[in-house]
Amino acid sequence: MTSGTVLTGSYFDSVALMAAAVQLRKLPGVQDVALVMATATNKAILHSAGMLLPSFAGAKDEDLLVAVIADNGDAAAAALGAVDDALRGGGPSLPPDAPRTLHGGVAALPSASLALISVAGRFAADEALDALRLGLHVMIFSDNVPLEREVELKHLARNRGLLLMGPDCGSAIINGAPLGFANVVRRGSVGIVAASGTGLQEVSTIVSNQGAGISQALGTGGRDTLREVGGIMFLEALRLLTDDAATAVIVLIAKAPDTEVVPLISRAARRSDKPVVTAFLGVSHDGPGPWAFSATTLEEAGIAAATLAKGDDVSAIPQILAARRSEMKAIAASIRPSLAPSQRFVRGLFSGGTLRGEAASIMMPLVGSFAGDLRRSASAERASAPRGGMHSLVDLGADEFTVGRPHPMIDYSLRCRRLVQEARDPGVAVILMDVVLGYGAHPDPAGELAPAIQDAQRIASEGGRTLPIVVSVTGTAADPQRLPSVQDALREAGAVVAPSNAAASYLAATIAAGRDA
Amino acid sequence: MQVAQTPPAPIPPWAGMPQVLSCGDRLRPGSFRVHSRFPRVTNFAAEDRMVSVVDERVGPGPVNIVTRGLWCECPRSLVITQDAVSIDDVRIPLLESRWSSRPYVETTRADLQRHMATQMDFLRRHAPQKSLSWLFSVEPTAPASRFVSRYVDAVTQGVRLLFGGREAEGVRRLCGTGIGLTPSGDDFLVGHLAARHMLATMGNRRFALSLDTVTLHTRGTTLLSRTSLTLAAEGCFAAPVKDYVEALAHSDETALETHGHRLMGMGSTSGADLMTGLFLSLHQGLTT
Repeated sequence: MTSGTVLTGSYFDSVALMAAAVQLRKLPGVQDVALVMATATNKAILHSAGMLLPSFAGAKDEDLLVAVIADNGDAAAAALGAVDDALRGGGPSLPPDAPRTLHGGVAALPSASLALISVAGRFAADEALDALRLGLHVMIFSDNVPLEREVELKHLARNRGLLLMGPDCGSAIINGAPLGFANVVRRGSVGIVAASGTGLQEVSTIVSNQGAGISQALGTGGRDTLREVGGIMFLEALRLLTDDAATAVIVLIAKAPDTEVVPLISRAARRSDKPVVTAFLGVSHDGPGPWAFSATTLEEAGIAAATLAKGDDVSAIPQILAARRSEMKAIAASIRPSLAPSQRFVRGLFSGGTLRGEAASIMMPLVGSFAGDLRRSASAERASAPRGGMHSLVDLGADEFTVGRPHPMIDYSLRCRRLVQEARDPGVAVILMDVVLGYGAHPDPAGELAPAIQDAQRIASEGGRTLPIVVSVTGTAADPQRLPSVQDALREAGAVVAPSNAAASYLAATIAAGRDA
Repeated sequence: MQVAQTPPAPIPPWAGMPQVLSCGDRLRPGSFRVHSRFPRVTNFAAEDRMVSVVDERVGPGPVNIVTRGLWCECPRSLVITQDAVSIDDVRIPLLESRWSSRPYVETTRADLQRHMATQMDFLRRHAPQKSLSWLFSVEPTAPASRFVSRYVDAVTQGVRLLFGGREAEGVRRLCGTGIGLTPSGDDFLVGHLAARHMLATMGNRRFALSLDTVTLHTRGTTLLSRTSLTLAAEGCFAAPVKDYVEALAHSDETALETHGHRLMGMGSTSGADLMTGLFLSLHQGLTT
């Protein structure tokens, strides 16, 4: 009897097909096997060999035909069932020369200059060490790498003239190539150094959405500006951008850099003849530094960088931001009357640590203190969350939350659960969230969040309350998720969508404060 | 005394980022989707056209984009504009000059015959067992199965028609005949077309390429083969073929040997199948 199947989208060279046919012919009860592309002439040959099946009639030239003549149905079925293994030589479906180690990767792609390491944190440092020894720049996406290993690796990298981005470096854009979590932004003349993944994403998307573009965006990992690390890679990245002909404006981003590290950065910036914009969140600036613009928010830094890159005057920026705040105040004023007297507190559920830091720096002057240490650790919030009777901003992307679980930009389940949980608290006045788009992030964040937003608002409504949920979306229209589509879907679900994380934070604080902030 | 050393200036990581080394002269702007992937090659398609993103070890071709620093099995999208190519949204400027895919093959009959004699022997010695080089054998090996037997018959009949004065019918029979993504019959025909190009360049108008014959009959094969055949009918070839036929026309034995090994390494049997078509067609053209 003759049996067969048509495989679509399977391309193999002739020797692989012939070898598979030879292997299948050896199976018990199998008389003949043919694996051929479904061209007209091959069908004619199958016909003359008595192996053309009616099911092959619709097969196109690009399809692969598998025809088997066997003694009985069982033998034919066994042969057809073994086709996949025969074609792949019984191994995994990787190209035959796909590398399986860092050394193999370098051998296969000798011109590679950068290794991106994303393995369990306890193995990442050793892989990074190997990569540096091979002369590669390194981006360590992994977190949970001990601080002393980070310092050791960064010293080695600097001594070899290489960059070591990370650990926990979530984002970079090099020559337009997005690495890790990154957005599809315009190419341009703004270079970014960021000790913050989401900070890099927020600023690069604002720059792009403002009509300017990014030359290079280098991440350093959030701990680089700690006293223990000393800003080693922050300074090296700044040197690189200073020397880069395609970069005309430099933006430096860090959340709460140590006071001992800021002067080092300041000294390095003085050596640059390019305008430098800083966004050092949580740091008070004493007098003018060597900066062209010292921003207090990521939004301000992004707008300033775009303005400078376009050759415009930065003196108009305060007016732009004031207009945006007026707009947010008007929205808050329209929401506030619907809140019950018990609703006094903000709950922030963030996927980005820097976005949480930016929110805190904006909200504190308006609403007062927050639960837990806003500076770095989220463990306090986790231990006692959710908190009644206090404002709280939680970074669900912090190390404590990501051990054994995907980052909240990829997996929204924890955030959705927390959202519904917070909705049960009668003290909650407003919930604030960030949504980060781009490569690596969840392909349909609105699809994940929308049901949870609706559930949360339903729960509040059943308790006789209105629950405003304010969301900012970091991204561009060119991102795979498409910024306008996500914003529309979230609005439709009942969220208030603000134009930036800073604007969302101001709006949430203004709602909770209940006064004209 | 220990002297403190200043760390070296960092090397920008973007210095080694992907770049386009060359672009074939038959590339046209468009938006392409992934068609197939092989080690060091991703083929893209749009309607009836094909483009290949390859690494530098594969080399140039009429519709090849040769890259450095790119994992060539991985690209997912390709957009070609007049001045740039965007691979997975990474925009890489194109070079203004394009790699020329037309071989320069003007030579004398005597030189060509001398080179052919050694190269036919090279083919017999180095061709893989499963290639069409058995067409040179007096006694082909016994077919392994009923299907293989019919396949051998079909190729033999196609070749007889091609050289028996019924070229169009021969092209029709050979086109799409074979097993892999570029069926052996198609590779044989690319060799045949390269031979016709050489013979026509040597002044024999009888061998001017008949584009209609090829385009009429190549609809029955895979898109990858159809692209190669259409380009070959226009006298455009990938670097291993172009370099080999130029060496056959002009170079010494050492260069021929080098280029011969490179062509033989094309695909599993493609290079040998192509060489078989080339030599049988040149032999036919030079002796009739």
